[in-house]
Amino acid sequence: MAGKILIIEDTEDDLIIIKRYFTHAGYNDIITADTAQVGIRKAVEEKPDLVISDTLLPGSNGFEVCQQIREKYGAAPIKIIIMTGSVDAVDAVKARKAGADDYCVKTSDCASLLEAVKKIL
Amino acid sequence: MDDKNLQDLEQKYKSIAEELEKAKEELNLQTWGLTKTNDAIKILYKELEKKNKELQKLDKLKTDFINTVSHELRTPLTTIRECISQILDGIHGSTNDAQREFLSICLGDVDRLKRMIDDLLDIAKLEAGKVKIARRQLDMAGLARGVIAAFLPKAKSMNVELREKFSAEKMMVYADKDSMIRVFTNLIGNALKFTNNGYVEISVTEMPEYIECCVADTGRGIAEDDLPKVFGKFQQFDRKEGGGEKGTGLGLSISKNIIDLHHGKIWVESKLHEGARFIFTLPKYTEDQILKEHVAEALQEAVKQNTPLTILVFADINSVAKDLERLVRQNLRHADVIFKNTHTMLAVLPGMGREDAREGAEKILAGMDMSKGISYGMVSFPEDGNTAELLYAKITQRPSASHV
Repeated sequence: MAGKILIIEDTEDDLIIIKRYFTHAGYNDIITADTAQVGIRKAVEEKPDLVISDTLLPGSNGFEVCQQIREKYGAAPIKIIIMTGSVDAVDAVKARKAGADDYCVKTSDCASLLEAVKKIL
Repeated sequence: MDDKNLQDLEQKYKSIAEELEKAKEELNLQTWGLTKTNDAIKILYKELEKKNKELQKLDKLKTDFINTVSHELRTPLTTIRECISQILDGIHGSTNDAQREFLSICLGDVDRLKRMIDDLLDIAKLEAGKVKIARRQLDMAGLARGVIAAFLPKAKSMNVELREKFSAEKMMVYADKDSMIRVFTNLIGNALKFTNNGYVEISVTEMPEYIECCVADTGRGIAEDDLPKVFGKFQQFDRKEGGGEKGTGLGLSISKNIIDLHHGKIWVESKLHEGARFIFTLPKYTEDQILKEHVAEALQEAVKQNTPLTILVFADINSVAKDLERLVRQNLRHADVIFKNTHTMLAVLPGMGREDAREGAEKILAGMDMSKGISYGMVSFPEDGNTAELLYAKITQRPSASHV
């Protein structure tokens, strides 16, 4: 399926699970990053069509990552989804204000995440 | 109206319209965000519930496994042990020295396997919170003396002196007897294992707020790097050859779990080649606190089992306290007897209703020669309340019903 996806996620297990579900759903071009810094760099260098970032990242957060990517990317049409697996971290308004296209929860079956990606790509 | 005014008005209108537009956008954003947030939280809660159910299932599986293992492993082991013993004892014909030597080795290792299974099951139960400790008032000095006496032959054979140092003849603690014996046995056994010569000193000291127990040895000590690992599971450090039974590496972990259950502390002070001191403390309880704990424990059980609970309060029992205690234990099964002070005794009767308890009390007092002057009262669940505080408050009131 068309579309290069960059996943920024610091929990290795989650990263593996998400990647597996997406590959299974037909998204074969997936790159990953385990810190905010690497994520932002890869977003600029590798020009993915969609960035999915976790909300809680070591030393940073998904909202900041989103803002910085938007600043560095300029007007290019990159899509960004912020996700979270923690009830305490849910904040869709903040995500939208940071420039995210959608806000999603991370579940063990990745269902809502996949749904959101299908809508965007 | 001139043109300027008209322009101003138009400007004003425009800015108001812009502001309205902005406000509308913000409102849309907030609506979108709140819907999203709401959905997200709903999904996450469902996810949590699912995980919770899975964990409960796993927990049950673990408990079932522990129970099965405990039964299935012990049964054949007992059979093996009995068979080897019989052959060793010559019941099935004579054996030569070599055969007996090998059979003895088998027996030793069967016993070790049994200890390991027992320890493993204990630690599994302790960690699962499935162990119930029956705390009572007990004399820690006396208890320590008993354990020391059991170790004397072994210490003598190893040429290690066993010393004792108690700050008072008797020191009462509120603890589970078997658990305390176990902790002392573990600590003294360990100390002996690691001590070649010198002594092992067991001390019990009364402090203002707690009782401190210490097992100190002049053995090989523990390296600094190993100190944090001492209370971990399956930790065994270099030990000298031959010193009796091999351990399971679980003793200290079990001891720590036991002391934790008693709200105490346990720690080790040691340096390599300079001996080790294992110290644990148990908090002191006042008589009132003990009474409250008893009532709370009994009530918790009654609520859980959905059974009644009655507490008989006998007052003015002074001279016949011992007789009364004996009669209560004889006549009221499962009675938990506690002395509040020298003239008040409580009998906690789990599962017993008010009427049965009254009947029991009357029967006991009627059968006593010196029952005159003794009065008794009853506090029961659910009649008198459903919290430990309510029941306890009733207990401290003077008994109203008197035996005449």
